[in-house]
Amino acid sequence: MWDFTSPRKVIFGEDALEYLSEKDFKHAFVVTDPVMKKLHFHLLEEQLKAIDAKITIFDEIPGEPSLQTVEKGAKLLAEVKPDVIIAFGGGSVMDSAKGMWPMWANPEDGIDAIEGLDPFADLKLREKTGCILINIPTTSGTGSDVTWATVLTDKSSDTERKASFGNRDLVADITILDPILTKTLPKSLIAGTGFDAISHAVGGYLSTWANDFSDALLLHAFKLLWNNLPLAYQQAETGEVDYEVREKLHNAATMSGWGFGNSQIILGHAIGHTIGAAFKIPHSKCIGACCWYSLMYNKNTVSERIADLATAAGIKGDTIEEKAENLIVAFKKMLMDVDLPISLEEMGVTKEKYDTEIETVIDYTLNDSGSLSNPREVDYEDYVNIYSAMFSGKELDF
Amino acid sequence: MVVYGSEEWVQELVKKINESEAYAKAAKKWEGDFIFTTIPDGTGTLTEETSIYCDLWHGECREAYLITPDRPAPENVEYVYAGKYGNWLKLFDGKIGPLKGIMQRKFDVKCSAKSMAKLMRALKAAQELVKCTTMIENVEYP
Repeated sequence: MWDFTSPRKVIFGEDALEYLSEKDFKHAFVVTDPVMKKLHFHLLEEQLKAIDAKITIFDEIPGEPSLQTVEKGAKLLAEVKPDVIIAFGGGSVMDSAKGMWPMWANPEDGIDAIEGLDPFADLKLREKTGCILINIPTTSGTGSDVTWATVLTDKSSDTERKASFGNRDLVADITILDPILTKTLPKSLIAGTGFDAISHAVGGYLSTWANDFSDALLLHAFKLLWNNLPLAYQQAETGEVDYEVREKLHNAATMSGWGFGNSQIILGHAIGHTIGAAFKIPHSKCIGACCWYSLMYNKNTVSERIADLATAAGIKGDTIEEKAENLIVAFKKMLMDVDLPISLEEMGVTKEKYDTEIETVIDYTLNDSGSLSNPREVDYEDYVNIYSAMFSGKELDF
Repeated sequence: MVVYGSEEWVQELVKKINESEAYAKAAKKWEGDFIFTTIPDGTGTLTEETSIYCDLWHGECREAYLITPDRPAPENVEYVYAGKYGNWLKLFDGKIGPLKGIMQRKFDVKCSAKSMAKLMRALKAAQELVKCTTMIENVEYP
């Protein structure tokens, strides 16, 4: 038995935000970050004011949110008791909102209410809180608007650790995809979040948990991302905003999230989660390189699946192996074309920091669920070799 | 030959766990005790539910035994991991993993939220533990 879980509604396209003014919310709890509050909150506020909804804003979400920040938000939720939580921002904001909700519903469990979530328990979040969740992504990458998994940083130990958890009750009731919200994205974020979405498509498609439903979404998402990301990046360099291109990216990021959220991530995300927390590297900065390493590591195990992705991207080759290899080469080129780093050194990790942390980093990577669902089994020594190559950006030769 | 689910099989498992460097490394900071339950489902000739108690401590198995009326499990065992016999066989064959097995409802884990959080931080150890079961030689599956 397997599940495919989706939001009840996906509202997309130009003016999608106006959907909110058709609803009858009494009190909206808006989870956001300071930048988004300044840039685009007025667009959301306009819609909520049109229906006389009271608004409480929690705008303290940092780039890499912690379980501790989420706990603070959950306490405020319990005080104000809204009838809708609106997560307005990127993955950090949406993951935080998804963490706050079960903490509000189960205050007695504290942080364990989310990190120890039984993936199949009926959390009864809607019944317990009288509230629903709406996600409004403002970047095109995370896919968190449609997934049931959440990643937060646990700051309670010496080496910070990304904690992932999930329950299908956390899937939003509604996700709203309005491309206007991406108009101010700087080119670096277009590249980084775009590669996050690409990594979801790759991971979800190569995962041992892949299935017919996720495959359909992920292949098309990969095609849209591969074709539109370089274009959006080039346009952003000149200040141009082509909403058709932005909409394709925005939709593809959600499709990618929808796909991998009903499949799994692989080694690339296991590495990305770990180095993000241990070396303080933003997920959008490192995930592209991590994905490239996952393609190299898995190419002999799932060359046919990698060749499927190459075909979707329009990459040719005379054999399956050649197509897979050509995709790996093109992947590195695209990373470089959009100015994303390949090595840990380029990401700012010093040799001293690397040597100090690497043992714990490997331990955490091995225990990330992405390592378990990777198509090629991975052990401690494999990670020693992967991380060693990744430190200086070398290709894998094993 | 050792019969799956017998006391002999359990003691062979203890040996394999304690010989496994990979498990020792993956679980070096982990501790917790389990009841592993096999539920008959018409596969083979297994007709009675069997449960094993297993106490895991920092990469070692300190104690494990077949639970019987004369030797019950201790009180307040942290985890109960239960599945049908056919699904255990698939797990031993590597056709399903310990986490995927939970996701597919082929196995059920009962524990507190705090313990589930602890288990989710030790996925590699779980994988290595399953591998130990596959290392037992000359097993007769009823």
